[in-house]
Amino acid sequence: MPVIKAENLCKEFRQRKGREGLTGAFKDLFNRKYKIIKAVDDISYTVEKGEIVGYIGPNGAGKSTTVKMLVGVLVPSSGVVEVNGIVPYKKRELNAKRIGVVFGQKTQLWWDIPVLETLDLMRHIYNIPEKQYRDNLKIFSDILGINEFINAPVRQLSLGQRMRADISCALLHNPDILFLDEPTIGLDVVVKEKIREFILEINRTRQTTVILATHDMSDIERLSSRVIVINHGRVAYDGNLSTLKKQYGTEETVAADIVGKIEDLSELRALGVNEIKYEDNKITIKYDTSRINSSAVVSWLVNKAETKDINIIGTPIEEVIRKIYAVKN
Amino acid sequence: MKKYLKFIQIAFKDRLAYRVEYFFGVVGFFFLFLAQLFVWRSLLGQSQQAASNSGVVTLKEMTTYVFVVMIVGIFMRNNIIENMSIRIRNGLIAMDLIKPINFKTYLFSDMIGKSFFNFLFQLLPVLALGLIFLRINYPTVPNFLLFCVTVAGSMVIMFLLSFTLGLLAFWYQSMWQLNALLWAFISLFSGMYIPLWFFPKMLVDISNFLPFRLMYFVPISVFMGKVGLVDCVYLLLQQFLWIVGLFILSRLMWRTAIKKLVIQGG
Repeated sequence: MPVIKAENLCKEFRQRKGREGLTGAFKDLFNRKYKIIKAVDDISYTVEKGEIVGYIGPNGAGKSTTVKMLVGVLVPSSGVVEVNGIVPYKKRELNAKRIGVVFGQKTQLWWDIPVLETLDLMRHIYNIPEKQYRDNLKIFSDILGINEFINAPVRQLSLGQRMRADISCALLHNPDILFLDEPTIGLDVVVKEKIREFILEINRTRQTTVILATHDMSDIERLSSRVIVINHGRVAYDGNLSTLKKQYGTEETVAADIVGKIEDLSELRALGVNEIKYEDNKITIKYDTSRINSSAVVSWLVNKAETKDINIIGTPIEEVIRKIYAVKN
Repeated sequence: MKKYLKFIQIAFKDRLAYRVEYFFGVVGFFFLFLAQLFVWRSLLGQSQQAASNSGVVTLKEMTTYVFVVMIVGIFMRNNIIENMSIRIRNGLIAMDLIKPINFKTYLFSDMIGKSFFNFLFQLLPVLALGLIFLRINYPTVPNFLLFCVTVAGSMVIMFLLSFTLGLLAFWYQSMWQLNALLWAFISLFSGMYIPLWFFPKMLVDISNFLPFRLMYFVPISVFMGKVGLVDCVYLLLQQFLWIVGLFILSRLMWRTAIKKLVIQGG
């Protein structure tokens, strides 16, 4: 039984269309014209327990709107949404007890009081048993390092610290599902890594289902095997990340450091590679994965010379996504 | 249930962080009170009394009246409409909705916490000064108890009014005009500046249909012993009916508002 179910989900917004000029503005006072915006247009998918799903799409694609419907903040215009078997916006408080949410741009914490006070407040709000509370605080300190700033009021924290505090807050009550909306935006590499590690750990030890809406491709690469690509409010792709790259990401690069010299590149050319760059003991081979397998290239390479370092680099995911957007347009 | 007690505590602690600022706020408060007192003193003139709908009103009674207005005011003042309007406009309301708390109850707990703080840090010092320097009519014990009950009712009415109007922020971008309108009505019909004894009959009739007089004028009249027991019960019943009515209205509006919710970003 899936923990998240979205079926033909739609969300429309009415946006005021202002008429031009002064007479237009006057007319607007009496008879407003509206434009209907379909932020989410027939989205369907299911998520099983313990999955980490990456949710990508360009700005305005409908990612955040979908997430908001899943957490019970927005009411769909039509369609079905079920989380843990409950309809989120109908049983908001019940649903809220079993989910944790981190919105990248907004904080859940009280602004003027120390982080620890907010966490203590959460303890009361979610009825968290004493032991679980203390155990979780310890884990958050160990992996995320929140003990460094736990006594500071939120307004004094840096973005990275605030984000770590928000994530701790979201996971304090051991929710079944964790929703993350742009959690690593604006953060430096070290903090990003800590957060990713933490999410993986939680998913591994508690089977927490994770929905990660993000722009950051390296988040997706690191965390999720399944991706849902959203564009113009519709699902453009829903499946395995590596399959996605195979289907749309056709160019691969093999880069290697060579000991000695390779004289004859003709066999390599015969394979049908796109580009070969060879200078100063470094060789870079670019080829189309739909035509040539990386193992063919690599086996040629190791037969021809002693290699010190081989790297296989796939199409950057941004490129893949761009192709999907282009196709589905 | 415990979580709402915690909210009260947090609201109190939150204010405590700025207690010095609030304490100084009392000074302004006190001067407003003094100003009103002097106006009445000069209005009542030499005789130190005036005629009204319910007989002669003495200076001592007006002093008492203004004094109790100040006391009741401590529990009425809130920034609920402003707070809600800001949270709805900048989308922070989403953060309230993802928690398993009832937003309305949370706001109410917050108001209680702040009122308690105001009581300790603003009312008590003023009360001390007032009791030393002023001559007022002290209530009998039963009147005082009834007064406390009516003030509690006032607080709930004030809260529900503010919350219900605050919900309009889901529909209207700019709320301060509505807030100003509400306060205009309250200023006139609650008796907070001029007791209803001095109102022309037409205004008295209008105000009987509105809940505002139940917020200031009625509790103060009870305090001053101007209300008989039977009338008091009748007035408490009115408070209760307004509370029930406003409660139902706010629930309906909340449901509609949530459906209408539009949150910026993403």
